[in-house]
Amino acid sequence: MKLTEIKEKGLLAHYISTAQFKTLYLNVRFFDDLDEKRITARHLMLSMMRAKNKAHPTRQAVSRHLEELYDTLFAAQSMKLGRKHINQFALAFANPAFTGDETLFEAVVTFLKDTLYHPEFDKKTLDEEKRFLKDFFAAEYSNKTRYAAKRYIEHLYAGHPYKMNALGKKEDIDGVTLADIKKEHRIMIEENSAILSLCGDFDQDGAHALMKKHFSFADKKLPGDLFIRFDFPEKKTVTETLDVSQDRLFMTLKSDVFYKDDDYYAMAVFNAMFGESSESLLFDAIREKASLAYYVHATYAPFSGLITVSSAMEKRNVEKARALIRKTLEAVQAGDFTDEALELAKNHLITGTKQSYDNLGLLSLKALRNSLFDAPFKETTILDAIRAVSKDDVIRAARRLHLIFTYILGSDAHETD
Amino acid sequence: MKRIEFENFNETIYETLLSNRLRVFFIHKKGFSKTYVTLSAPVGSIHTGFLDENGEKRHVPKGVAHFLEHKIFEKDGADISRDFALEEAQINAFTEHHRTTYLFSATDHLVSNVRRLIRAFFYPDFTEAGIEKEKNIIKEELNMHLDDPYYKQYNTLINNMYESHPIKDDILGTKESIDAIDMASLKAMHEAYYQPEQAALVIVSGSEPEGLLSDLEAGVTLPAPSAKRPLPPDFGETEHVKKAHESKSLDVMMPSLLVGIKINTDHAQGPRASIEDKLGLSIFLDIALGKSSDIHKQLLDKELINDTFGIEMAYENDYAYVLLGTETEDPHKTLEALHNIFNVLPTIEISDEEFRRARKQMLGNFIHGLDSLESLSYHFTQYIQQDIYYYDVLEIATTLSKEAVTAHRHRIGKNHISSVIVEAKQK
Repeated sequence: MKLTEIKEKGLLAHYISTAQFKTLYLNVRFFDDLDEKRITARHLMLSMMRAKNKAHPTRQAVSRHLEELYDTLFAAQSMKLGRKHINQFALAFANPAFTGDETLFEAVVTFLKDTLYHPEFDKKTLDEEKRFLKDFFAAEYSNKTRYAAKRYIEHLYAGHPYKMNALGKKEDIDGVTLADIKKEHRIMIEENSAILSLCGDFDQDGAHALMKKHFSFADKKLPGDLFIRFDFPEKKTVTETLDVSQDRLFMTLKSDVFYKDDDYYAMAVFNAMFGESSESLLFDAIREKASLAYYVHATYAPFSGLITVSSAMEKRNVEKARALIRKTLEAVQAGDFTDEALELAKNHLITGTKQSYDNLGLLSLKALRNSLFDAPFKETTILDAIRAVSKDDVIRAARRLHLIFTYILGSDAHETD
Repeated sequence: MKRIEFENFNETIYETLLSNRLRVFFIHKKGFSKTYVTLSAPVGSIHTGFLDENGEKRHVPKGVAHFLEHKIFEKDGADISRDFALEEAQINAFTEHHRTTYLFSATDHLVSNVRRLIRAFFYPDFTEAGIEKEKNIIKEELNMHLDDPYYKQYNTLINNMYESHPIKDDILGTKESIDAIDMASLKAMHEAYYQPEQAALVIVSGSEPEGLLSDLEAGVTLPAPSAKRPLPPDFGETEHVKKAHESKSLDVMMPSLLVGIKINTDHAQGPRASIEDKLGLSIFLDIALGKSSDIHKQLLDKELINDTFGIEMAYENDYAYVLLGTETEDPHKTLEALHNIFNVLPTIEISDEEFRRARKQMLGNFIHGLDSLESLSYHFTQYIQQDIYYYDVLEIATTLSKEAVTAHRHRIGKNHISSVIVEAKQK
């Protein structure tokens, strides 16, 4: 497996070459600021580009063309990465060697070119995409776990643009005009930094020549500092009520350990041991020992330094769970955990790391992190860093954490216990 | 050991029989770091009992298959997932209507991990305390689903579609049935259905197969045959649906519609016929109603569906159904439109162009599946129950003619359709 990054005027690209896959994965990511005023138009622009373009001027024509290209999968996604907003266009397609159709590769690249440079922005499609987006926001309320997660983020990031959904803001949908869409498209192509990524089994010289022929982006470096440094609430608990079968609980631990920090791997190991897997301390305490909940997870976000613990349980068990989560953190901070727990956590990360090389999408993401802030791409470098984490490192990382925020979405039934 | 090459896709399968009883399939995925292993038993929520030693029918509480799934990985009251994790393996399991699958993905210690999986699967170690403790965890799993309107919508629909077939029941059971599950029912169902002859071990791996398979053969013991046996399928289900429509008012802001069509599979006897039937119907539905169809375009243009519209199909030996679902502002209007479409479906013609495109799509879809070990394993397991290699399915699909696919336009019978609308509750 080989990663090559090529920087030329108007084109930053990385190529991950590996023979194990029978499909290829091509994507382009555009970086913009997380901007409240523009985010909704940005996303609507992206979804209009997904819907059709001048070469394939209806949704049906696009669908048919993708089928014609041996079921090429085309995803256009908006996402948040720290303080940045990313518009990503990704195509997953069969390696031409297995279809017997050598024109497939260039046909897919041409389709991406048509999507990016020859969009068809018309009122009918804008109205349709507005309708879909409104429906999406209305449906966020349907699944209460998803709704609780949304409310949690809105409270935690109150006053910071990260509180927004990457797809935009419901209340801004109606106001977006075709002129806004065209303006955002111009910004994306002419001003945003962009990176192209191709992974799979291909001839690199031929591929790069083709990319150069078809793509040209703004001549800009990738964004430097993506990290969110924010005045988060301290010692705050928010409870909201809704008619639900079980209460949803979120607890936020804050640290100042970001991606490139010396303690990054220590924090990752801490989080794995604390609550990332079914061998974690929280899973054992909350589910296996106390039978309070079906799930409990801890997630470490190295762009904000936060760890979020989430779980769901009957109302009468919420306080027990909160106490157990606090107690588990304190125990690790005091060094009260076994060598086996530490080994399990490292194994969890080691297995996950090794497996990530079997997935084209994850490989592309790893290469992106490498381009963004020089995060290691090579498997042995990452594994060595995980293996080097000691018990003292984990204790030190744990001591850099403290509980800042708790969110509960629960029924208003009286507590029975 | 049998070795089968699928040259078109540069893949190799090895097949062997452990202790002359347990079927093992090894799919070699050169270059992959990971090994993904599944061991599955032909028991799911539709299996409601067993035949005892005297051949008498015995019934167990609903949700036993799923409960077993939660307890197989327990030994001496503790979860053995830890033992797997210490050897770089992550375990999981899932229960479907007709099958339960135990799995791990690992990056090292293959032989001992596979042995541990086989041991856990055939020699579980239930404890009274462990069983009692699990009840609350499963009830919380159920609670989580109860807050999901789409889950309720699906369960209501399946329940309305089927008169007596146990597919109508929730895989998890009910709070009452979960409470009624005990050591005896778990043990009996395990004995009846977790037999080596009925199970399949599927290993998808980047490692070399030879050493692994011979090491396994040396170190595995399998349980003696059981006198308890699976209940023969006898569901006596009717062709028509039990209830044609239901509307539910739930705590949502976006209404949605789910339509289920009960599919009769009586004519498709034997594995090959049943796979042809399944593929033919699936291709037909995709051409007629899929994203590139005229019907889909009309539904979008009339604002009767949005981008969540989807079609799914379940096709097993003793039941098959098609689901169509979408979020929509006016589900009643969408439902009416879908009924009108079902009425004209029998006259639909498939063009050569559409048929040719569908074939390309199928080939591409198959190739996509080869890069996901999970997806490959799932499909392989599904077809191997019928003694068909997944790699041969594409071949079967290409033998279907346009006429054979078009013939499926008559499959959607008038009284085979049931629908559930979820609307916003008035507050």
